[in-house]
Amino acid sequence: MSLPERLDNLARLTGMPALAERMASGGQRRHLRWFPIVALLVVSIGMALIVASPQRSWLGYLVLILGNAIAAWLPIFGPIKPWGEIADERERQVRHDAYFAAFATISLVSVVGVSLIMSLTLIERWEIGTLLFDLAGFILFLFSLWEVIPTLHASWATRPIEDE
Amino acid sequence: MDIYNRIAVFRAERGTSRRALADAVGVNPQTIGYLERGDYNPSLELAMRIAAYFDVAIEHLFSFQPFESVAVALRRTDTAE
Repeated sequence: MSLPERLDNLARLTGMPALAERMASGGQRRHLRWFPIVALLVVSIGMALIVASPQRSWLGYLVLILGNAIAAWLPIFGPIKPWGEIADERERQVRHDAYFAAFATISLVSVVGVSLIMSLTLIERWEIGTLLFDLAGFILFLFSLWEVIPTLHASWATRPIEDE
Repeated sequence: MDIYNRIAVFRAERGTSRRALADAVGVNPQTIGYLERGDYNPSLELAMRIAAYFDVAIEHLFSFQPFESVAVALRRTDTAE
């Protein structure tokens, strides 16, 4: 068995691929209004802890990873169909608007975040290790935003439709 | 600009479910719900497909002005008679 096959098998053991396939084959997608807010709060607290206290950045990482673990479920159950899944014109419009909002948010947060980390590096005279650690945390934070913002936008931009 | 429609009226009159209409015009049943509620404006293609399904002109289904209610239309007909 090749290494990629072994890695695929490991991923399947988590149950996530099977869940994603079930959702793709007609599973009910729902508006998730509060889970994205919780995930956003947790990852923001984690990022703030990493930046505010480099001596205890492990705690920030722990919180950030916890928030990221919540965020990972949002694209699976949220209202947005992933690219590759058959979507009608309204669903494509919702996805377009949601990812546009996500790109805009991530762009803004990237500029502000990198500027902040650069400034803190100069002011606090961070060592290279601290800087790299914070930047790695910031990448994870941006990745979490990529998972959270589309679901958050789509869930609040429309009201759910009741079943007939 | 708001686009009003009376898909729900035509659907009720024909006894068509959201799912049946959705399958016929190639969209998700939820999209029919969003259209009926006025939360989504359809493309020209979808509007024409829905009109063709009910076999009516597109302006009988969609309008820039609110449609009069069935009760008002009936009252007007009674008065005319």
